[in-house]
Amino acid sequence: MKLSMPPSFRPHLVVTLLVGLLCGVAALVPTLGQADPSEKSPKQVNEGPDGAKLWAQTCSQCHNLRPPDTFSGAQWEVIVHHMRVRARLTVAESRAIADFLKGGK
Amino acid sequence: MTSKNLFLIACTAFTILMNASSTKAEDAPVSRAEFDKLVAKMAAMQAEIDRLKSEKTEPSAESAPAKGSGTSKSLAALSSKVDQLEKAAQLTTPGENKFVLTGNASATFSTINNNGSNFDATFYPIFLWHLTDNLMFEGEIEFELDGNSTSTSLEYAAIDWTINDNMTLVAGKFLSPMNTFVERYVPKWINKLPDTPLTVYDGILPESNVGVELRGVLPLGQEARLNYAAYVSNTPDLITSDPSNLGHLEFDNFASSGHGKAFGARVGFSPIHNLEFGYGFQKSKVPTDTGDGPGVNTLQQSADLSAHVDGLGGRWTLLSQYAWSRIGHTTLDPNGDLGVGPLGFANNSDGGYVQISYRGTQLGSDFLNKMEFIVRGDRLKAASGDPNTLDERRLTFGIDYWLTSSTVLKAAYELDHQEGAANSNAFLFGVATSF
Repeated sequence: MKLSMPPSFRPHLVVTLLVGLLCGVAALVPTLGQADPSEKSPKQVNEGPDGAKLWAQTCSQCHNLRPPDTFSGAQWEVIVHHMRVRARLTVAESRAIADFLKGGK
Repeated sequence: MTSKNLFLIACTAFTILMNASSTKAEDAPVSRAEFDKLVAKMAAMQAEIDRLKSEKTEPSAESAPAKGSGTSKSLAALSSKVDQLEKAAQLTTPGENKFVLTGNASATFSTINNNGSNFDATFYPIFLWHLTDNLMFEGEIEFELDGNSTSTSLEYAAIDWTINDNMTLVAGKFLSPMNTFVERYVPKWINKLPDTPLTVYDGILPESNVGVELRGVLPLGQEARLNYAAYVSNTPDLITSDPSNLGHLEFDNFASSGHGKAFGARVGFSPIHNLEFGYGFQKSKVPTDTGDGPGVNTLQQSADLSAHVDGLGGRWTLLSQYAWSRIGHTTLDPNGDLGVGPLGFANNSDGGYVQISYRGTQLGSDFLNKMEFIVRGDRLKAASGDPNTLDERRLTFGIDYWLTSSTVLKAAYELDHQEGAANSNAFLFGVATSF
């Protein structure tokens, strides 16, 4: 049985290969895309992601921002972990957001 | 003794007498009585000084007991309050696992042309367990009203294992990553309109998959990032036994017939934080719902675009998605048992939606800043030869009022046109909240 489809819609094969490549890269190079810390100033190396900025930019992509006092610190840890998976955040980004929310009472 | 000597003696005596008579009063010797009097005075002064010193450091005999008891009572009460608060704080973190019950709920009213009016309600609790820093369980149950009963369904239930900063393994039932509306925007308090778009919900795309998924993000510098998801899951079924849905895919089957599996993926690229392009697909060879006859090859594809920009005193949000579904040619109801066949067609359909919303943030009025205006256009283009699906186009205008950041009142008017059928224009109202 031949599946007919417009020739222009065969990029799924390319996407499969691309995703497979991305998975391999993600598994082997966890810090890909991040600048070499030795090239940063000591202040930049020590600061890490800006939790407040990430909260404002990332969380508002899908929904209204929930005030930090909506949940307790322990609840925010759980919720931000859930959002780390859903919104595809790095561990460092999610920790920065969680620290900001837990501290912003 | 000569007169000279006498004269000298007399002068000396006179000098002595003169010195004695010229002594100042303060140089005069003090009598014993005066000395004793002075000593007594000094003793009295010393006693007074000592008394004043003691009064400065200690309260007086009359007032000391009252002040001390008040302060002690206040300190004791404050200490007790702090203990209570500490215990309450500890109760929020039971044991070593952290659990949160959250979710959303809604109530709606709709009046549809040629279809009456109806109230409805939903309740979607979400259960989250933070098992360790790298392990989480997440699950959502959907309680909905369905005719004369309540329907209960498992929206998702998955264990997430964060392998590293860029990769998470998800196993179980998870929301379809190629369907960005369902994965990100379908919760009642996030979806800005009372209803959902055609095509991407109860349409031609899967809403969830049962299988295994690998997902993550690759930062590409300061702001750009590439996110990805790839999965293998149970396949949908091809509906061949229900005449009202012949030739469509049943995505809500949770058991795979045969050994076939579906493979899918989505890649999203964000050059800046408020813009994302995405493409996803799912490919499978699906069996029929009866298990009879050969399976058919299927391919679903989706392209999505989302953007946010601040301007004109508020935030503009663009959400859009377009999907294509290709189901291989097959002959349905070959013997005519369903009163429809033999029916042969390739169920190739497509459709999507575009939604633009505006919410003011600097309009100078708290009331206006809580309002949001939405316009959504969506369409579904049915397959040629499909006896059950009509081309449909809708245009919806909505206004939201945000009571809080997670509770919203919605009102919308929807122009709904189906080819060859009367319009289904509707007024839609709803309230939704997240907890």
